[in-house]
Amino acid sequence: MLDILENILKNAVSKPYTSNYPFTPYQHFPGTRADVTFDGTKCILCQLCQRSCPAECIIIHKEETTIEYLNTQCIRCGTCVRVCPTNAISQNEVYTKPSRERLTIYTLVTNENAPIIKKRKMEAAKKAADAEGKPVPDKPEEAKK
Amino acid sequence: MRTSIQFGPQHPVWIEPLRLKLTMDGEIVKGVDLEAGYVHRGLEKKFEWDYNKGAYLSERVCAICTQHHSTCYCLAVEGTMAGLELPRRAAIIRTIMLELERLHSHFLAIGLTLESIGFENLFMLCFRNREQVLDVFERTTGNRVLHGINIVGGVTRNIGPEMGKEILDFCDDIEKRARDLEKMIVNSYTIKERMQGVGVMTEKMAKELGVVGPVARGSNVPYDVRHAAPYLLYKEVKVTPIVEKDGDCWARSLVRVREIFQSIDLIRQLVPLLEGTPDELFAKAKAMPEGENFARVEAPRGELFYYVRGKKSKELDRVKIRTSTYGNGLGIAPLIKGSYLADVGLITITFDPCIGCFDR
Repeated sequence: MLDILENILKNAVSKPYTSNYPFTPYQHFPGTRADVTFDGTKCILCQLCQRSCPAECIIIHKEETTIEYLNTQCIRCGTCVRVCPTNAISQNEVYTKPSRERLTIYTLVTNENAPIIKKRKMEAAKKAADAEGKPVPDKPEEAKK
Repeated sequence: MRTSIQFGPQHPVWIEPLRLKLTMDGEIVKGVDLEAGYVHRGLEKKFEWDYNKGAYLSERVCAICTQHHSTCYCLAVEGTMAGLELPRRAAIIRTIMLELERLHSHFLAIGLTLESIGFENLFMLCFRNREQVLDVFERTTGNRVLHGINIVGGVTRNIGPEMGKEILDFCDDIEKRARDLEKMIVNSYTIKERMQGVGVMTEKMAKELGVVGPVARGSNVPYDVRHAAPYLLYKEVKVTPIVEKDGDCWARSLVRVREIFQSIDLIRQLVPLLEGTPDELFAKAKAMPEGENFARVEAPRGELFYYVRGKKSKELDRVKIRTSTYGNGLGIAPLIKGSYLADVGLITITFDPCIGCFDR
């Protein structure tokens, strides 16, 4: 009985233990797993992250060469960061603030080593060469290699 | 004259929905009808997909014992894969996390028990201490509640020497806090008078109903999976089940209080084992899950059971979960029968019911 009185007195004198949350933001520890960001210059559109994502929040549109990331659906597990072969995905330590909208983020892939972009470029070059009327022998050979 | 009272589904004692239909004779409960299934999510069906994703799904069965669920799932799946041996370091890290999880779950359970008898000050103190454990989780795993470090074959995050020292410092700090808390709870005349002799489960009754965890151990049944069928590092670090004889609400709570100190002691023994162990966290699986296997883990609420059947492909054939609350659920109705209406909330909360587990 006296123990609890001692505790009550201690609490009355000491500083409040809780923080004034929305006004003083919560300080995360280093190494917290939070949002995921995609690097469009590194991605090769291999779809490994899409297949391994447990929350199915990464959708890769190969035709449009964009990555669709459903932020509100993500569970921040970090699987995509682990499986990415080119380290194009990185996880930061800052959480997204509460929001009324579905924060879907589109990232345009501009990596020239991505197979689909490479193929398109080659096709475009071939077309251009055909239009000129002079077939360029170098380009198709490169494609074969 | 008999009246019937609906206790739940929305009741301040439980955070989650569970319905008890009580038939009352005055103040005394004469008949109980338990109805569950309000938060059934069909998780067992969902488990029939990629086994790597299943580890994250198993965490979502229960948010309080996430680590136990994912560890149990991973142990069960690892057993079905030929030639997969868990690295020693991963086993140690998993065991440390299991004990930390038990710590925070017991703080929560004790806090909620005290709140149900109207002791809000101690409830707040319990939650303040629990916050310390959650901070350690955020430092080590990256998340406060859904840790997500367990994958089939190992763990994803390492505990380095600095972090190990930090965990040991935390052990000293939390033991001091827990001792203060124990002094306040165990020596309190008011709490003892309120909880002693309420909801008595005798040893015979406990064995017949097949209850598990602190509920069984409070009724003098020394059943602890860590002791009965050791897994992971419990083969080396010996655990003796903590037993109380009375079988009432007080005994069940006392088991939890004493298990906090046991967990702290186990973490102290486990962290030095990390030194000198090779930095291998993950073993790559060479085969797909094939055949059937089960794993048992001692969760904070009792024995947790996962059955897994693979079909030599990435998808699993069947996963069956028997949670600890489901095992204890049978004991709720017989204990309430014959008690006062004012005790119904207290008796059910000393079972530490987790309805998310119960319904799956």
